[in-house]
Amino acid sequence: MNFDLDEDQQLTRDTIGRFLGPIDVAARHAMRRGAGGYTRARWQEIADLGLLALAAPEALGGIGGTMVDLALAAEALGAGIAIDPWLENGVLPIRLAAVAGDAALVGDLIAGQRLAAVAFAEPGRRYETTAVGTRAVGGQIVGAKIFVLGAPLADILLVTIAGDRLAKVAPDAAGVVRQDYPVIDGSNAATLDLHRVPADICELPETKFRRVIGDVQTLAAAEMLGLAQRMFDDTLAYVGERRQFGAAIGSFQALQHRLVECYAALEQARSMVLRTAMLDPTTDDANWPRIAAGAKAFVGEAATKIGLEAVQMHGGMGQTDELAIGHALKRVMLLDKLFGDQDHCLRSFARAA
Amino acid sequence: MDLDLSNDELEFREEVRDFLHTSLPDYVRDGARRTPGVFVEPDIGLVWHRILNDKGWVAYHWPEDCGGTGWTPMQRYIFEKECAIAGAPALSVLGLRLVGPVICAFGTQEQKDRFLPAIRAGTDYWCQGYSEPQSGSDLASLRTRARREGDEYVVDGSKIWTTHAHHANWIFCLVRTDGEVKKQAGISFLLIPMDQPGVTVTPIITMAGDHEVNQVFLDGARTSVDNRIGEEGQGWTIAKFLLENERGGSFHAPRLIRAIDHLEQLAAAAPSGHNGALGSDIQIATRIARLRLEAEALETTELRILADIAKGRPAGPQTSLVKLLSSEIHQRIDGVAMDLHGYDGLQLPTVRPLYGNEAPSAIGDEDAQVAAARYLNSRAWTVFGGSSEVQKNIIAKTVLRL
Repeated sequence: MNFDLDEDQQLTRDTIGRFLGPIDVAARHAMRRGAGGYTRARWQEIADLGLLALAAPEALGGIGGTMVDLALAAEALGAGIAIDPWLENGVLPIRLAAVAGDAALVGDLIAGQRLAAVAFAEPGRRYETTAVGTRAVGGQIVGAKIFVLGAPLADILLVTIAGDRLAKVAPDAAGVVRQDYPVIDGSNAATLDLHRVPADICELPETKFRRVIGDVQTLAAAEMLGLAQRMFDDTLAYVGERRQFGAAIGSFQALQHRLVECYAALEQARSMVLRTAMLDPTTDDANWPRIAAGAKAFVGEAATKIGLEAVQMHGGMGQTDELAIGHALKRVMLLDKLFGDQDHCLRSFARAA
Repeated sequence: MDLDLSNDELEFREEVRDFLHTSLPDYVRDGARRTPGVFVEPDIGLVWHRILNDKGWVAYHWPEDCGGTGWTPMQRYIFEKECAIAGAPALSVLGLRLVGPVICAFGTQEQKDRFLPAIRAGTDYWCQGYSEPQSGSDLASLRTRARREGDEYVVDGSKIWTTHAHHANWIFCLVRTDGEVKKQAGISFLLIPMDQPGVTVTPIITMAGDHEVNQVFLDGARTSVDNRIGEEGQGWTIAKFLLENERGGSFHAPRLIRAIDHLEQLAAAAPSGHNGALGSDIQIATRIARLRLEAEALETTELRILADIAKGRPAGPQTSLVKLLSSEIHQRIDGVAMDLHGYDGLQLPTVRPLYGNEAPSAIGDEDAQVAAARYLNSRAWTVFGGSSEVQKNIIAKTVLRL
């Protein structure tokens, strides 16, 4: 048993820290105001750092990072409140393309040459991931998708369709009606209406898809851990500086005990992320989805609690869009619902127990 | 980063499993399961204590030159986890976990020779004289005084919440030997024999109806100066060493996880009253699931601390974190158990013990009989060894530097 980072893991973490450092709140606002809220130039840098290849198997030209490697990367991205959609437009489509055996697409995605958005959610289906309303009719796709993260930036859409299949769709193909909208972390998503859209269709076996969802849930938990750590650190620093009633507010026991509860939740969340990531190689396809769902529910609860406490303890300043903690909280809120909120994930964990 | 056990560790685990399989008597396991108190009584605990001593494993966490096993932290963890899974009783901490390590660390060779073998053999039974009626969380304010008279100390005062004082033949006490200095600096650590006229034990019955704790009155109680551990005035340092051991000396998660497994079995068997088992009720199932996640995370938290200890980094205030978390999980488990039993969970037998031939018969499921008493006694988890509020003060000060 061993909890130490190896040299590569340490290096990845430091690299991510340096990459994210310059993006302060002002830079974040500036980038979000631009078209699409993000730039392809920055995505290319993510690719050049090897962070996308980390998520792809070596057999398909990737680095073949373990779940621990990926979780540490996700945590570091969270700690730096990354503006980059590494998880939803990097890891998720790369792993789907890998599962579908599309080596060419994997190659393009990890090189940053193409950026993919994944359409997995359907209207009225909440967090269910089995596609029913989107289907292939004579080789063309009909149906509707919602919450397609990063769709305005994408040059390929991966659309789950009925019958455990995946359709590769060009965003500008005939019959694609896209409505873009801003989401809570400042990025952009879209709804899709698909009217007899030409597509390239491949198999996406349910167990493999669920395994990928489990991977993304685990990494969402890891990113939330990093975000929670950042919000906690910022708050701890603030209560030491902010003076009221002639004393640093961190000297008040009412706040101290709540900060200790946040610290305890943070350490427990860290344990859950490490445990889950380390379990990955020994867990079969049938159990992975429930373990990952449980981990995400648990870490989501901790990160939400820490985020809301961070806002409260920052007082009036905590309400503004000028502090990092607000941006971190909004990213937590997105990740907390990605592939199921706490209630949904906890039910998945309990039901399968 | 990995959770793998080495081949040696896997072999050791097999050895422990075999031993538990052949050596843990059924009636001891049953007694532990049907004990509503926080600690098992000596009639169960000492049986297991002596079996472990015969094997040479009872004081496994002591230094080797004091009769310890020389196990690595990982071996200790494996041992405790297997004991938890097998349903072995948790032994009284007072001799093995509290005063024993203090004597190992601060005692003279004569003191080690006098006291340690009798703790291992289970022939001396210890209790702890820390809290006083006016000194609970503010322990350093204690008022029990000891004055020198020739080669003896004469002790006057009172100790309270003294677990198993009615079974013990020795008490280790924090006493004030100097009233003139800062309150922490005037404290000494004395070992006092219970069997003497100056020591009176009065039972305190818990709201569950159990007799676990007592008040101990010291009226001119005498003990030899040779029974002082460390120097005069060193008592507070020793007290803190002991409390860190009390909070962090053993692993909690394996027992908590086993209790949660048991909750799941109970829920699967209990009728919901309308359709099917209570375990299929999503409300109950998610409450148990939530507890499982918390306990599994705690297991990893404990392993992270263990990995630090194995690398020679001190655990220190991390023990407060584990104490804080584990005591609350413990209480929540007992809360769910209480709810699973419905009306049957409200029975509160007035006789003890609830195991053996004299035990009263249970209404409904056997586990229902201990549920209420256990729920009530379980309140003590967040109080003894430093209340949750005290743990939070410690973490705020030493970890968060507030």
